[in-house]
Amino acid sequence: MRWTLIFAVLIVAVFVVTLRTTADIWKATNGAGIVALIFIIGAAVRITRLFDIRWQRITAATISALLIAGLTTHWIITWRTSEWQYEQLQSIRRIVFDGTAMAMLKRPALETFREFRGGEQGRSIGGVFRQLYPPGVPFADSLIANWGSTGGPFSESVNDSSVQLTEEALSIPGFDSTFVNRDGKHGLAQISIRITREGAMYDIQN
Amino acid sequence: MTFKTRILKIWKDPLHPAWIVLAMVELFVLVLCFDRFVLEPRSMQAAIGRGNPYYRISYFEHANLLLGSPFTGAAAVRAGEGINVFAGKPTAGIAGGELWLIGISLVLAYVAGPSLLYHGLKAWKARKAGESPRRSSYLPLIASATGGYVVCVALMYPAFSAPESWMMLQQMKADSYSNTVRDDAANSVMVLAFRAQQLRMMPEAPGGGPWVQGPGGITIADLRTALHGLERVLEQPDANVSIRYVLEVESQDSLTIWGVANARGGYAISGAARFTNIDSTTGNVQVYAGVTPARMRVGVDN
Repeated sequence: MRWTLIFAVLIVAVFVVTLRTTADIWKATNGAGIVALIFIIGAAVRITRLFDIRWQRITAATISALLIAGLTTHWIITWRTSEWQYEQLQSIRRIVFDGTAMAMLKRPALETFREFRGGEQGRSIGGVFRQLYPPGVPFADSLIANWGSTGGPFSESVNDSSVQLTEEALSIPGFDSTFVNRDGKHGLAQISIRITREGAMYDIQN
Repeated sequence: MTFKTRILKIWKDPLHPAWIVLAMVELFVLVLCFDRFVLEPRSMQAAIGRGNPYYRISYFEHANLLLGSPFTGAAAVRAGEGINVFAGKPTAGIAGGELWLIGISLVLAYVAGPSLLYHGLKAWKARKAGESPRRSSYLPLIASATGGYVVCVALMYPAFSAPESWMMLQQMKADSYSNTVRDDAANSVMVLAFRAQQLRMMPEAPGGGPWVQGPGGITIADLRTALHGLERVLEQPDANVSIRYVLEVESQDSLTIWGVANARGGYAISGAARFTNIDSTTGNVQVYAGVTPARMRVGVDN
C-alpha cells in the first residue's frame, strides 16, 4: 500500500511539474506514463510471484508482458498520431497560405506587366506600377480581411527596373526557423513576387 | 471429473478463483449497461444519432467510462491546440478539467487498478491458506475483482486496439499525403498558368505570342522556368514526389495545363484506382488549370 501511495503522488507530481515547466501536454503525459509503467511492471512481477505453480506463473507473466507491450504500443501510436496531426495542420495551413498569397499577388503583377508591355513605350516597370497603384492604394485585397490573422499587410519595394511585392504570415511557420522576415521576426512563412521586364516570378522565401 | 461436478465444486467453494472472474464480469456488465442505457442516450447518441456511421463505440469503450485513457485525453488536448493554431487563434491554455481527467485516469488505471488486483489476490491467497479470519472473505473478492476489471479494461483495450490504431494511422497518413501532394500540384500548375499568360504578351520569348501547339508553339519547357527556385516547395513535398506536366492548346486564347503527381489520388472521383490520368498512368493525383489570357481556373481531377 505504501508503494501505491508513493507512486500515485509521484505520477501526479511528474505530470503537474512537467506541464508547468514545458507547457507541453504530451511531455507531461509521457513523463507520468513512464513512472506509471515502472509501477505496472513492478505490480506485474509481484502478482506473478503470488502463484505457486510454475505454469500459472508463466501464464501470468506472459499475459502481463503482452498487456504491457500492447498498452505501450497503443500509447506510442496515439502520441505519434497526435503530434503528426498537429504538424500536418501547420503544413496544410502553410500550403493554403502559399496558394492564397500567390493568387492575390498575381493580379497586380499581371496588370502591371500587361500595361508595361501593351501601353506607352519607354516607361519603367516601377513607373507603370506606381501609375496603376499610387502609394496608399491597396494593390490586393488584404489577407487579413479574408483569412483572419493568417497574413499581415502586403509590402512593396519599387524601383525603375523591378517591383517586389511581399506577403508575410502572421503566425504560420515557414521552412527555416532562422529565416529573418521583412519586419525582423524570425521563421514565419513569407512569399513574394518580383516583376521585371522579363515577367513576374514568385519566390517562396520561407 | 464431469462438468456438473466441476460446477458443484465451484459452488461449494466460496474461495474458488472463478468467483473473482464472475465478479469482474458483473462489474464490467454493470458499468457497460450504465453507460450504454443511462448516460449515452442523454449525451452523444441524442446529439448525433446512433445511425451515424461515424458513431461507433465498442463494449470496451462503454466499460472504460469510469477510467478514461490518459493518452486519449492528451491527444484530444493536442488536437485542440492544433486546431486553435490552424484557425489563427491564440492558444488559450489547457482547461483545468481536462488535466484533472488525465491525472485521475493515470492514477486510477495504472496505479489503483494493479494495486487493488495485487492486494486482493494476496489477501485471497492468505484467506485460502487459512492465514486470515473468515470475516474477510468478501473483501479480497471485491478488491481482486475491481482491480482485475480495471486492469482488463485499462490495459487490455489498448493492447487489443493497437493493430487497429496502427492501420488507422497509416490510412490517415496516406490520405493526408495525397491531399498535400494535390494542393502542392495545384499551386504548381497555377504558377505555370501564370507564366503562360505572361508569355502571350511576349512574342519575342521562346513559346511566346498567341498560343499555338506544335513547332514554335508554347511548351511546358517554356513555362517551367517559372518554377525555378520553387521546386523544393511546390514540386517536392518529399523527395519521392515528382509532378509531370502536360499542356494542350485548344485555341489561341485557351489552353489547359495538367499536373500529374506520382501519388495516389482519390479526392474528386470515386473508384480512384480506375482513374486514367492524362499521361496514361492510372489512379494518380491530377490537377489542371484552364487558362485564358486574362483568367485561369484551377481544379482537381483526381
